[in-house]
Amino acid sequence: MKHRALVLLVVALSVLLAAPLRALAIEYSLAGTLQLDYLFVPFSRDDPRPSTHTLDGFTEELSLKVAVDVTDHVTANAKVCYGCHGFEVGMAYADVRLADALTFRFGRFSPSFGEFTLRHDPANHRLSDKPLPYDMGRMLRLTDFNRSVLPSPYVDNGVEVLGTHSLGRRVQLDWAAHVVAGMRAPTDAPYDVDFTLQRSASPYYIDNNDQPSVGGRVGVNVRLAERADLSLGASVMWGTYDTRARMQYLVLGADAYLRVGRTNVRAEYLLRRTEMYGGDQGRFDYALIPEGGGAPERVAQVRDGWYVEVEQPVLRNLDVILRWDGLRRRGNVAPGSTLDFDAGISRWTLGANLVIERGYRLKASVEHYSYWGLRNGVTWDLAAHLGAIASF
Amino acid sequence: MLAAVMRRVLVVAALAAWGCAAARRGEGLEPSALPANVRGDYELFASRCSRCHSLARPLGSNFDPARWRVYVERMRLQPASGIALSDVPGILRFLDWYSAHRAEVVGR
Repeated sequence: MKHRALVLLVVALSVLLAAPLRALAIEYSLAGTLQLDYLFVPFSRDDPRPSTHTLDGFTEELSLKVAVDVTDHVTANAKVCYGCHGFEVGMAYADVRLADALTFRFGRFSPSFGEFTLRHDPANHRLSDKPLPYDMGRMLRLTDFNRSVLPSPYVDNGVEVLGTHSLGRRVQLDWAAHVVAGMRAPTDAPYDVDFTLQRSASPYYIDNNDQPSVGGRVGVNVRLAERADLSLGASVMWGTYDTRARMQYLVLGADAYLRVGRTNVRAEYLLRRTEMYGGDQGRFDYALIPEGGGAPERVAQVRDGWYVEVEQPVLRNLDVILRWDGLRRRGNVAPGSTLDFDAGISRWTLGANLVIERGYRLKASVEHYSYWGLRNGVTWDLAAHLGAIASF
Repeated sequence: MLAAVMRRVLVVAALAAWGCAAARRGEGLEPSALPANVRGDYELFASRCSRCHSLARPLGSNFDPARWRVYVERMRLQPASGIALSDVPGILRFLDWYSAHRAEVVGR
């Protein structure tokens, strides 16, 4: 028996060594973006300085991405970003493309959600600030609102399956489904997702509970005419975010993109329902509705956000962008919160993108914020951005 | 404070005016400067390949035709790319032409 096994092993090794070894032609590509932005927020002697509620002044974002095409069907991607909070891993994943309808992605990546996720890099969107539903830190009063609905980029560890299918020459479907570690809070009695913990390497880039989160997106792209396309998409994300995996979050999204000639119109709506730990009336400002004779274990807050944006080239090297976006939070608040039960932002932005040289642009924009529900009585703000972008 | 705001607005406006005057071109190519048999493929490429990023990315990449085949396929299979399978031949025709004539085109 041992003799037969040894013979089989020798034969197997001989076959493997004798087989022609195909040389792997591994291709590398390196790309990056550098943005320097200056945010100016006017203030008076009676207003608090902008630095108490926003990241004004100069901010820089640098990203470097390496893509390695190992074979025609396997690609590895890694991206490092340096910005307001130091170095972060923007992506570290591999794609295995088995067919148009089936690609496996695993590692650390931004799960498919909405339309803006693909364009979160500063070189890929025309204004200095992201739309409010996806804002990460450039919005005013970011601490009051605890950022946005889904700060972008949302990067997590997990696996995604994605694919595309054409229905004739004019309609294309695409889909993606993911399982990732999920959003986090460092406690079993949270009020909201901790977005600093979400992207920080401290303590670890690992899940805080044993429950993965799931989600996905389905979309359809319709070729309306030679130079007119319409895309519609719907996204969902669900998971638990506290250390005991009891408090749930649900994120829903709808996106639309219309291109006619060189005019781009984009719109999205996002909603996140997040359970907070109830437990004790003392944790909240507004009266809790008792359950079973005591405070309810879970209390929900709902925040939603939207944007509608038009990009219009006016000269060969000049685009004008007009955006209306908003963010709203409804739900009980902790004592001392700066927000009422219903608080929100409506913002108008007028901006311009000027190409200096291919790969080098200036971004300029003016923003008008209208607030409701801020307990400090602030009802409006103005802000102006001037930025320079280099993509390479 | 108003004077400070106005000074900043004037600086921004001056920079913008300088930029408009000094810039010689956008991030894409001028279709009328391309050979007639390439213009249609270029318009297809410019329409499909500017949805998620600027045209500076592909036009600044010094890839050969074999590399472009792999890259365009990878872009097509990105979620929500909007690039149909039927778009690929026209996009690759333009990129093959661009790879061969990049030096003279970039100089325009």
